Amino acid sequence: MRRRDTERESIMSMQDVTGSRIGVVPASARLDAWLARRASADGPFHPSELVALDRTETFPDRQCRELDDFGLPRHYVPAELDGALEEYADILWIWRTLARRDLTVAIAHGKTFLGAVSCWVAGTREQRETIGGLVSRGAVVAWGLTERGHGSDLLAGELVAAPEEDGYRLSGAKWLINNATRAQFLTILARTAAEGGPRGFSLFFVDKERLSKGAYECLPKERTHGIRGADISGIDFRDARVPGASVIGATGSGLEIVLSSLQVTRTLCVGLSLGALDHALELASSFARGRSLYDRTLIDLPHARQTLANACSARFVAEAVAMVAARALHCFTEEAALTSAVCKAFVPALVEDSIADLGELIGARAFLCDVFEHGEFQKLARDHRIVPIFDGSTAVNRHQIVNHFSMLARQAPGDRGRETVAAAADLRAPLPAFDPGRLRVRARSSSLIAELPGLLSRERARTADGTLPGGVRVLARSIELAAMTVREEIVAHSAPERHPDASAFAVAERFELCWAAAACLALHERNRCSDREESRLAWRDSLWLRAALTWILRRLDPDAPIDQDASEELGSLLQRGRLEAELTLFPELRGGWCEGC
Amino acid sequence: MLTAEAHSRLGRLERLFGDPWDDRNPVGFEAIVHADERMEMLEPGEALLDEFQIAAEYVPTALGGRFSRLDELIQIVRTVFARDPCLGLGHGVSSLIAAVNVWCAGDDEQRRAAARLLLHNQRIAAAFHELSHGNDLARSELEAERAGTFLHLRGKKEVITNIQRAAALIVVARTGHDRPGRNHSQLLLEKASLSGNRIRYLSRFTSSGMRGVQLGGMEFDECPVDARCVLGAPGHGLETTLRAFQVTRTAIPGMFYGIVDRALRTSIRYLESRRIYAGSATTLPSVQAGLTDVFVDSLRADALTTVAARALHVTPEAGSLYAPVVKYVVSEILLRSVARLASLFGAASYLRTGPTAIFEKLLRDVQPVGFGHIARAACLSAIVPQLAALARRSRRSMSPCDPRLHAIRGELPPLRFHDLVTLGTPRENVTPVLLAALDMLGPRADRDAVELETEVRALLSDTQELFAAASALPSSELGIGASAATFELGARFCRLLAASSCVGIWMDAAHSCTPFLEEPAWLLAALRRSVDPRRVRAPRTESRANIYRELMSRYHDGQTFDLARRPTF
Repeated sequence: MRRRDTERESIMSMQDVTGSRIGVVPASARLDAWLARRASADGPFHPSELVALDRTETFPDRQCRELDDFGLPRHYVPAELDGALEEYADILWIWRTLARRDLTVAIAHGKTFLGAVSCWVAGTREQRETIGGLVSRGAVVAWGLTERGHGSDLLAGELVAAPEEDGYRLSGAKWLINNATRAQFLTILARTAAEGGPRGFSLFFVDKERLSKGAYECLPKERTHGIRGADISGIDFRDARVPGASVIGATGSGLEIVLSSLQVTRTLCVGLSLGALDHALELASSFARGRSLYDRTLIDLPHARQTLANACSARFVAEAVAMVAARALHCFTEEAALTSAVCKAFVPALVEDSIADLGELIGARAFLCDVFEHGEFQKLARDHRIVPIFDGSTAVNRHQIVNHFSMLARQAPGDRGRETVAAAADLRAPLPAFDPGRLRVRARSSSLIAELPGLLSRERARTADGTLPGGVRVLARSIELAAMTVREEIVAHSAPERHPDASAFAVAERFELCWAAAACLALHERNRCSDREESRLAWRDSLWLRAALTWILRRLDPDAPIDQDASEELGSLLQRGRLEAELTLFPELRGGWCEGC
Repeated sequence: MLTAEAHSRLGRLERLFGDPWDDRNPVGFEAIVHADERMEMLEPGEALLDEFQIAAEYVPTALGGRFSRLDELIQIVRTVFARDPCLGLGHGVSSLIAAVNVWCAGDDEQRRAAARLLLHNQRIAAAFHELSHGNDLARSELEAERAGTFLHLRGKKEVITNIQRAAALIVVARTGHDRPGRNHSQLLLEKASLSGNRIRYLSRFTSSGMRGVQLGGMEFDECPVDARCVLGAPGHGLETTLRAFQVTRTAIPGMFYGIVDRALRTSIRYLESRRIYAGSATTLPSVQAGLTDVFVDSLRADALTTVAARALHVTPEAGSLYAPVVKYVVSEILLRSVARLASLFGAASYLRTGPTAIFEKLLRDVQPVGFGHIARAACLSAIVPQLAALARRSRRSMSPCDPRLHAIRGELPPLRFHDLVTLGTPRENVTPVLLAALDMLGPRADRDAVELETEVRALLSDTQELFAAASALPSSELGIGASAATFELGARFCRLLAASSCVGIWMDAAHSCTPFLEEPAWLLAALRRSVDPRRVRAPRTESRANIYRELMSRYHDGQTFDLARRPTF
């Protein structure tokens, strides 16, 4: 009943390869094919095995070891350090691929990238090489930022690093830290100036094995709502002496490095959400195809189809946002403070809603643990709830968007950003190397938003000459009007507030939708070509763009004209036996198509 | 809104439960969370509810029980849900679902037998569900074949609460094959009468929430039962179910409401204690707005629940319309409210230990309000075919709706279970309420009135549009296979009926000078939130400070957040 085998065949015929490195099989696709072979009846990635680990709250040791054997850790290490990481989007799609199988494993394994990223951003050449080597060889690195009682308020951190001869002495605890117990290494944010403040914290790369006995204690694993197998624990340092060379970046710059690093991780973490949505869609559509009710198959009921089609539309939007945001890390790095906030606020929340809708379609089987597909759905729904929370919650990221309102209110539309947007959106264009030195605490422009009017007018022109279906014109016009309204709302809320009120957060949410529309338009403009439309289902007749813009407008302005409802076309494709797995923007990033890799 | 008698029972129940935050309390949150982790019912909680004789609340007074008003029953069980949803569902609701069928269709002897069991704290399981058919009860396969004065049962029922622990069960069984809609009968079976070697219990079903609730199943292998066990006329089982479920589908979401009351209370407690950016989290405007939204939504949910519960007493023929509307709207509000609160909690909502563990449990336990008892989509398909007739009746005569519906402090006639009908001809209660509101607001020129009038006019024109669209639906669009757009009409009607319930209650409160409810602030906020929740609306400047104040004063005074505003822990 599950789609994996059939999907394989249908995508096999795919000729085209997305990505700048034509001819190179994307790592996510290789990983996917590799995982598929390990998901057989007694394989470590079989759903029943993964659900059992969750039930017994057991860490997925075997799964993580296998991923090490596959060579995944090298993908967390930049190529310049002998790793395999060339484009940051690769991590996004790797995590998506993993999360589609199991979020716990993805989060448990992927954490090492989060633990190490500060070093990629700010470490000395020597530190980066050392840590790069460690990570490539499979070392587990945790990232110790949060403390009990302070949550996302990093400035309130109480763990102290007191300077002494040759180094520092760490005292205090980090809590709710993924892999704090398992990891040999931790990147720890510690207070180095008594008064704290933005320059009062530093980052330390700590090797537990080099601490003296009794200098630390791991805090017990916390019992959590989802990802129950994961090692969510903490670490308590007691006068732990660390060498001066363990400071990453300059003393006092810890917070700044963390904020820069978060711009990278927040952008990429949404891969976890995408994978969860893939998994949910796969379960829901196999349910809809197999379930008989009222003398029919569920998928023959328009209402059920609509639910699936809406989730597919939402996924198009999320894929576009994630792809553009991840490539933007390379192209308009200076804007990552805003881009990452949009990405992390928008995608996990969208996926959370979609999972709820799909769960409703599945009904009791999304709640029962032992009736439908091993109880995978209830597990993924619980697991995913961590994604909108960790690495900066939705609220934290919306706040960050609000902080950009005064800039956005000043920014005039124009084509300054046209080149960079084109580079970020064109999947065949080579990406410049990621330069962490270009990361800024706050973005001074939003290229994508500046480019939105241009994108809209060009797409409209293409409908006039028949290049694009006429439906796009109506949608583009409605998006244009909605975006103008949102711009006015931003202007009205652009006076800086220390604690913005709820209406500013609502504007931020509406801004995310505009940003998403721009990402969709840019991606569509740059990658639309006739052979794609032939070979790739979602691109045919600009189906995905119409579905995505319709989905966005439903939220921004439900009364706006949308022409014909693209979700009905999606629904009927599903009804006629096309698989939800084909209804993705980037089928070649999945494993089915590359035989023998 | 509650009789003095009901108030005193509620007070007794609250006192029996005691302080939930006291770790020594055997029915406190500490014990509740532990029982949930063990996937067990909270034993002291069950004993307490037996001491309180909660099952007597389901038995009509005429049969020796305490049931006289549905709104009061909702309040009682809501109190249990607010303590431990597993107790609410596993010790409460399942027997109620079964019992209402007996009140609707049973003969005197059967009614007395069911009453006797409940008054002795015994359980009755509602064995309706078969996994293969879900909401599609008409496809139920369990068969009862006539053999002389006996029926022989074969087949199985699955995911049935308390089936193993119940003293009796109601089974929906196929008793015919050739009369569509009349092929099933309900059977009231006392377990003691079943021959042990002809039945087999299925192993327990586990679930991600409501983990203590004992979900089981039963398989019958040519099990003989006395043919007199049929409830009501043979072949009328589905009709009985549809009628009885009007009561429970109206009541149960309102009982689950206790989860939101508790979630909101727990959130305020946590957020007040939480220091962030050098202040309490509740000083952040966005947090206040989140709490206020949930409070306003909870009032919307309770307004609809209360009006619908009253409607079953006043105009029982309206049950076929109100029940699916309540289920659709209230479940959506509860699910979204708990999710919204979780987002305010942040990481703490994800922990199963510590002071916020109860919240994590609520987040899981609230889920069945969406799919349990009937799927939300099935509600819409039950509503849509009624809309055109509603529009017709609305055009023919427009008289004010029964004042008793919205006079929530007023008395109620008894609930006549026998008067419930599968498909009634209810009056259209949205338009008259909105028109009455316009009459009331018309002479006023203050800002509140003007704003309210704008909202009410918008609702009115939406109603007219909706009825026009519904009247034009072809018959092919009236079934489960209707288009998504048609289903959306049903959803819109649900929101309109909920909004008009708020309007009606506000008008009555204004007449009776009920504090807070008579003010326009909550109504304005409620109407503005009566839109498709997926929509990300443009912000508006509105002062909701007095709603937030009301919320916090209720919290600090230990009062419920619903219309009743009664004392609670």
